[in-house]
Amino acid sequence: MSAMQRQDKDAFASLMARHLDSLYGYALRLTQEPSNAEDLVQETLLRVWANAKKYKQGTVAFSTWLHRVLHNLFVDQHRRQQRSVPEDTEAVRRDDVYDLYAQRQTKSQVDKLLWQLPDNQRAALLLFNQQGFSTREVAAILGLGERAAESLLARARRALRQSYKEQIDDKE
Amino acid sequence: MNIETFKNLLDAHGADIQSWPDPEAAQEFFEREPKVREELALALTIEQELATRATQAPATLAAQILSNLPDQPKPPTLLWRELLSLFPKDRAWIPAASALVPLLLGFVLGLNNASFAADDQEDYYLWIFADKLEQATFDTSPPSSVIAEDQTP
Repeated sequence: MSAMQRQDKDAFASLMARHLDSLYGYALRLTQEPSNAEDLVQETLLRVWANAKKYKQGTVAFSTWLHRVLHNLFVDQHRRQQRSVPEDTEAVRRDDVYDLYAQRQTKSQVDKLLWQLPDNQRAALLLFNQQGFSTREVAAILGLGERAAESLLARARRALRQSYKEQIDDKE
Repeated sequence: MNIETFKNLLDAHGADIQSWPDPEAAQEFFEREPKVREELALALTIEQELATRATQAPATLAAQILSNLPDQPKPPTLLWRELLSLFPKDRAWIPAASALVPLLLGFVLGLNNASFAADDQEDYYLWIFADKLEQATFDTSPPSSVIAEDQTP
């Protein structure tokens, strides 16, 4: 880490190799679109390189910091998209993206329902269950207090379980 | 414990009952209440689905990121350090430079003294010129006898 802070590209490459798949996996499920996920991961890692000196070792784990940078970029991108695209068009676009994605991959029911959750609930669930962060780390990544993160996770769990149940009931 | 409490705990802590505040009570309620068994099974399925998806980043992504890394601007350095960096890295030039320093110093001092001497000579000529100018001024004033005649009534 300190080698990367001295702008050592080899050190950065090895750090990147360690985190790339996990970061990409998270970004893919968060954005639900491979090209967006690639852009997000690339932008995140370029920002990490440019701001490496700002990372203080011992305060938070590097992976927590990495995910926090990614999350902030995701929120910024999302806000920009929402400003530029009218609401109804956005809904249509999201459905199109989802259909495209569903065709391209054998997506699980859970992934489909995950896409219907609000962004912060989706992020919290993915960080906790997919990325394996603790509630405290999820809070740090999302820029929330620990209690707020706990509450967000609880709402996300209930919402996802509820819609999963409805889906099953509809099929029956 | 009732169904709503069980559901709230499931929302707050996830599907692993052992991580709940009172796992024994939860386990006991789970065993005797079929409705919560269904809820827990659902929660477990979701959590497993969320956790098990391993994704590989595209093979070109790492190379693409590395090729886009900007070079960091160098921090500003002192002028003498910049100058020093122009010299060869091996230390052989240091004794030679040390020998040259007093030589250069002597040369600079000598040059300055010479210019001082020239300044002194210039001052000397200025003084002589000023004296002569003063004399010339006195010579143009009217003689004292003429002044005396003018003042007589």
